Amino acid sequence: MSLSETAKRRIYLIKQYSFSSYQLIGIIILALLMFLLFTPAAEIIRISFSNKDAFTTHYWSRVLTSRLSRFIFYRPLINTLKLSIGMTVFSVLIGSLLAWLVIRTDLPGRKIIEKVSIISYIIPSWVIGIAWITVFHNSSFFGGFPGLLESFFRVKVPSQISYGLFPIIVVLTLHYFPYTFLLTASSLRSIDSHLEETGEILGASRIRILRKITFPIILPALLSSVILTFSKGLGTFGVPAFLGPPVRFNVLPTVIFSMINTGSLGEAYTLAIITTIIGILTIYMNMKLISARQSFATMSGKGMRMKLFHLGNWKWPLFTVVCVWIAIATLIPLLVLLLQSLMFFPGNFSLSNFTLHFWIGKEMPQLGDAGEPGVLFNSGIIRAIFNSLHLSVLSGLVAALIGFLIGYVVVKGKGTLLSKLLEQFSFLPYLMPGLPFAATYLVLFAHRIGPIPALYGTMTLLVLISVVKRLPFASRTGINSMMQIGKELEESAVVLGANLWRRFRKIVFPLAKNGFIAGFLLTFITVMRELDLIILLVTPKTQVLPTIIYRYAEESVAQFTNALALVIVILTLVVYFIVQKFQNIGILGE
Amino acid sequence: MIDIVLKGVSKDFGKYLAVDTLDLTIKEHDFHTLLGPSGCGKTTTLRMVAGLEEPTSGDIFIGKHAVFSSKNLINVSPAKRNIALIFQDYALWPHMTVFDNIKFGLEVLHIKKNEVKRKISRILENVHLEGLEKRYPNELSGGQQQRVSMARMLVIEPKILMMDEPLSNLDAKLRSSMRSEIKRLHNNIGATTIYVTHDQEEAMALSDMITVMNNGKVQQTASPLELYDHPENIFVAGFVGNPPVNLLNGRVIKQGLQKVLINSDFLGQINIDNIQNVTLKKDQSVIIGIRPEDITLYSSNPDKNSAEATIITILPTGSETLVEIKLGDKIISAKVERHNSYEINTKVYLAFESHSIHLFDSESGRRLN
Repeated sequence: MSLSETAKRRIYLIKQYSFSSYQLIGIIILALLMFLLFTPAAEIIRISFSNKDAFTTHYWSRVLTSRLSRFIFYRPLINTLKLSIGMTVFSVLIGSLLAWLVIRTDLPGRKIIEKVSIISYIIPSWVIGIAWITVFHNSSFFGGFPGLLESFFRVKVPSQISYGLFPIIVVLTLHYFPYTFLLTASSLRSIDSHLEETGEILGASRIRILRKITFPIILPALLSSVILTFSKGLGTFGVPAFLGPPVRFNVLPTVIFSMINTGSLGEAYTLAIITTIIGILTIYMNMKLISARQSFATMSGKGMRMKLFHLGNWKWPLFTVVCVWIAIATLIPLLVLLLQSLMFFPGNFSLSNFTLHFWIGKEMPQLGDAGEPGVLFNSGIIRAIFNSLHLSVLSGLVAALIGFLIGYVVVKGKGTLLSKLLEQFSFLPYLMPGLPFAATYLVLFAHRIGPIPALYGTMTLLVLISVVKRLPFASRTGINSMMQIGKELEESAVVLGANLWRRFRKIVFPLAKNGFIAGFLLTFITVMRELDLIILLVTPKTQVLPTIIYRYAEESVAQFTNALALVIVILTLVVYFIVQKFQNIGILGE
Repeated sequence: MIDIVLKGVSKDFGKYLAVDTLDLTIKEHDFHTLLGPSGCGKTTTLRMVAGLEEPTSGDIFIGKHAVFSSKNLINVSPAKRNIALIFQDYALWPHMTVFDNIKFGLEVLHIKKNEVKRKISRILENVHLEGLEKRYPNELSGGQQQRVSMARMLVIEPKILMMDEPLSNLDAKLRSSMRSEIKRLHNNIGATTIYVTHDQEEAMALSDMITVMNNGKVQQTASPLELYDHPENIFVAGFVGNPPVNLLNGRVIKQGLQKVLINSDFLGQINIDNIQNVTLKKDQSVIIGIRPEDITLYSSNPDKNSAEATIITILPTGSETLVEIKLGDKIISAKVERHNSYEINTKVYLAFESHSIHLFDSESGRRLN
């Protein structure tokens, strides 16, 4: 082989095995993801097994087999399971029934009900929890100011209704039923009436048709709802943190939180590992169940005809029930919060007690914590609002961008190892329960790692963990929107000689814009109310609305808590509607 | 000469061999069609010539230059092959106007603004789309969309134009008008054209040359009429022609000089001339192909050797009528005049010229005469 041939061969080999630009993007994201998921995991495992650099099983035996185990592990574990199972059963039941009523029957106002019920997903679960306390608090058991029921109707609310497992399950169900509702609704919508009518023609009874045709078709959607809801239950911190302590009701995340606050890191991380493992196991078990059945899920989207089930005499009673339920999940909590934030002394309904003090009032030092300036003039709160917007907008943009890139690499490289790995890895953060996951970041970024400075106490860390945790949703959105762009659209540009950057700018991004906006909104809404994930990581400088609300709630300043909870809901809804409007204009303008 | 030459080109997708050591020459200025059923490798071949798919092995030349060679380690990017490719679903960018869609390729070439305008208005005139510059693709009919997608590719004045089933998304009426449009454009610009389709009528109507492919292999390359009159094997005979050729089994009785006498199921003994240079054994099984239009039907027996059959269905198409008849246990079809007096369940007698018969070896499928 002559020299020039050797040289030629070398150049070809470099070309062959070097990666095209999009693969390079994929590899960088994959490497980052692995670093952000596995290093913290390795670090907390190390800490849970070491005592001043010596190997020890001390923390594990303390958690699993000591006298304390009952209080720090077994009881919270049982509570966590009770809570998760309870909220899953109710959410799935209520969500799927509502979906059936809205999609397949002649219930009045179906379209509006469908839109409104999604709002309860936008309202943070712990905001509903705060509203619950405002209504059902019982001052004769728990001290403080009386709840609305107590002060208005002079009812002594039993303590099991004020706090503990029951209200937690109710509140979480109010928040999470839209998961099931949305999933089941789209599945029900995909059933062509012909499928059911064929059964009817063959002489099957209505019940038999529901059981043998309708139910099996929506089963995958129901199973997905079960997984989604159950795994949310395992990691949930906010609601139990508000509604649990007065009756000493602890779940694993609240135990981990208080352990970290009291410096029992070894035990806390051991618990975090256990919670994470339980989370991963349940999801994988359920995924196995689903994938076996997934094949049912896809139905032809063509020539759909929907025959509605006539409710007859049940129409109006059912309508009333549905309306009441939706009001409880959306409007009533907000009204309660508004009412409470306008009362100078909680529980006093005389007209002179109503005030805008907590919204626009001046500082009144004689009142202690409650004497801070009103929400709209309080520099600490304004900073938190600014931080919250900063955090959620930035996380939304970054997550949507990375989701978009992941979508591009996964769809373009379909069938390659890189594509598969990237798709799987971007799902991993979903398996990690929020608070324990944050615990790992607390360890990892407390000090400098190589070129990365210590991030604890910075906004960057909050953005980082929010993006990683939301990546499963953002990348799913990215993949879906990329899949809708036919590969010929990009190939036409390739043939015409456009390079990757030009194709991105002119073709891919403009076409995937709606997916990008959806990814942004999804991340924005969830990060705006995020408490579980960042409560461990905030410092006074980086306080955001949810964490400042948690602080006020701990100090029992109900009016500030309520006013701020409202602020968060209003901010979220405003951005949500603005972006939606902007997006619609964008589409129409083209 | 800017011929396109493929030498021993193969492409496998993992386990599945899409194109199998393909040799093919496409002459400059020709309208050359790759014809075959779906999954035969025709689109993959086209995409390899375009550079969108990398062959597993082989060489591809455009003119004197190799654009791909697995031995000599060459792989020229699609942009530098001076080709244009039109996709089945048009692949128009939905967020751009007609004007912007066409402008895209010119921008990549850094062509001056007023020159761009001039070129676009000329190409729009050429494809009869004047005045639609400001429309978005979803405001156009299917035929207009297809013309925009042609304009987008033609505006960069490619030496080679490739089309991947460009008409299959259109309805029947539009398809035939676009067919003549494509032929006219080809004659105007004179670019070498590679056209992929599974529609044999379309291929016949448009092409200078047709390559029939099946299972990743070339079956035959020939002009349309050659392909129809002298199919090289059973596959080509069956694929080209609508309604398809009738196939009947037969056995060799004896072979003479360039002649063979065969005994056909239901048709009796047939003498076939012009046998190729092959030795046939006695009793060797063969397949006889007769095109429906080569069969004549008589209501009374013209001579006592004619085979007798029963009419099963009569299918008038307007310009002619197709008659399905039962011959022994076989159903075959014959084309007859549109005005006729046939009735179902009546007896007819078949006649045909022996030189219209296509004779194939039943084992290899190769043509024998």
